[in-house]
This record gives sequence, C-alpha cells and structure tokens, in this order.
Amino acid sequence: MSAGDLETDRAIVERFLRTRDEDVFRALYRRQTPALFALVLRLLAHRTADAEDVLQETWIRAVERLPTFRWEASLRTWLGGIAVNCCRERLRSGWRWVQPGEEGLPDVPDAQAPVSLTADVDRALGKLPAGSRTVFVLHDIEGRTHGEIGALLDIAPGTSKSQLFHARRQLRALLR
Amino acid sequence: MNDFTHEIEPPKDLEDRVVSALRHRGLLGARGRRAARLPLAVAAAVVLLASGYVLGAWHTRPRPAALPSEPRFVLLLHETPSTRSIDIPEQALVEEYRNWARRIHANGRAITGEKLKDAAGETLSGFFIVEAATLEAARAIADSCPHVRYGGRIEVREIDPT
Repeated sequence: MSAGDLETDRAIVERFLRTRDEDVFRALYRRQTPALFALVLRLLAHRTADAEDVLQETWIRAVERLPTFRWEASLRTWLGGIAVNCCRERLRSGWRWVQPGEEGLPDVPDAQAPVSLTADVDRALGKLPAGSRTVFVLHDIEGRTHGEIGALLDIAPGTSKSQLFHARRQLRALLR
Repeated sequence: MNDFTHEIEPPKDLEDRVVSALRHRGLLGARGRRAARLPLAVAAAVVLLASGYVLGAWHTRPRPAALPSEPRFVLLLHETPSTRSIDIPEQALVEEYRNWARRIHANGRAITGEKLKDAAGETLSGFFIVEAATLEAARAIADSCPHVRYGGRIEVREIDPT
C-alpha cells in the first residue's frame, strides 16, 4: 500500500470518528472489505455464510476499537488481525496446530520453495486443518512474516514455520 | 507466479447488514445528519439516569458476602476544546455511553454519575463514581470511557471512606 493510500485511509477514519456519519463509514467499508472478504473466505474454507457473519463481527469490533487505533500498522493489516481472530473464534472446535502423530515437525528454513500458487490451491485450501490453513493464507497469500503471524495468533514463529511446512506438503499431495 | 485473487467482492446486501448492526449498537449516526452538539458529560448523565444506574441502584446492588467492599473512586469529567467541537449525532453518543456503562455494570461494578451545572470558566462538567480494587484499576476504567476517546480529560480520585 502506498503512502498516498495510507493517508487516505487515515483521513477517512479520522473523518468517521469525528462525525460517525454513515456515508463516511460506507466509504471506509467499500475501500477495505473486498480484501477482508477474500481473507476471511479463505480462512473459513469458502463457507460463504460463515464468512459473511465473521465479516460483520469484524467490522463491529473494528468500529468499537477505531478510536484507539494508533496507526502503527496499516489499516488493512489491523483489520486483517481482527478478522483472523474472529475466524479463530468461529472455528474454535476445529482449531488445532499439530496433526496427530506429527508433533515433532522440524524447524523449517524460510528458503523452502512455496507451493506453485494457482487457483486450484485456493480450492484445496479448504481441506487443510484450520490452523495450518490460516498460517498458509497469512504467509503465502497475505505476505506476513512468521514473526507477525506468531504475534497475531499467539504462537511461536517456529510453530508458524512448522505449520506452513505442513500446509505446503498437504497441498502438494492434494494437487498431485 | 501468484494467481491468487486478493480482493473478492462481498454480497451486496452485506454492507447494509453491517451498517444496520453498527447503528443498532449506537456506533453509527444517520446519513449526513449533523449532530446537535451535546456536552459529553450530559450524554453520560442521560445514560445513567435512563439506565437506572443512579444512587438507588448503587445501594441496592447485592454484594457477594465473601468479598470485602472495594474502594470507591470518583471520575471527574473535564471538557476540552476537542469535546466541545465534536460533531456526533446525539443518539449515537448517548448509546455509546450507555453501552460503556452497561459493560462496567455487567462486570459487577456499580456505577453512578451526575452532570454538574454549567459554571463560567469551569471545565468540570460531570462525574462518575465507580468501585475498583486499586487506583490503577479505576484509571483503566476511566481510560475506557468514551469521554477520553473524544479528547476529554478524566481526573481520577479515591473517595475517603472515613
């Protein structure tokens, strides 16, 4: 995101906080939601009804917290973090980090080649466990570092690397 | 090569549903309607009176027998140039204060407050009284008040129990 986009986001948010005007919110919503929706859909394995509910909850929490947002990250990154946590809550019962029998996953160097990124991967993502799917989406699609993912999901960066390794290996097997 | 679509348009009706949910929670004003300026402490007092969190509720709140009573703190609300210039629909403002007070009360803390009469040259416009274990806890409650988010200042003092 360019510095100009960042400034526009901030201007819209500040105007919204001053006025709470519906039209200003709609402008903010239209600007941010397509990327948020793509993220949430992937995290929820393209379960559209769940994604819509999560997106609504994301915006409610975001608007409640906007007055305290410090602009230490981009608005999109901040909103994405809220969306990820909403997804985790939605998937709580199916959320697990380690596959049975695979507790000893090695620490994987970052240099491992990613899965060839095609649209088929998007469809196969739905078959991954929620935890490794989330790490894959955040790292290989959203471009976040393992450190950022660790802070967002409250896991060690090493766990994030392991989950990414696992996700890529599963995806390769699914796409053969 | 990355063929991922990084943006997907949501369903058209989702926007209206989100807007409706925000309005229901008092987080959104109407389209283009200019707000009647309302001192924030007035909004707060309206909330408390309308919600029944006045002194009567304070005295009748059941207290768990095993817990000692906690210290009480007064939150003194001061207006600032920011709070005097805010432009938010009155109903949205009242609803925001109401939700804040409800959360305080839902956490098991009695809360009450009053608006003070306007006095020339005075910034103090109202107060809340709340129970908290420590001064730091009372300050945390004050920091969560909408008054602070809109640029107001809250002074926190412990009430002498003697």
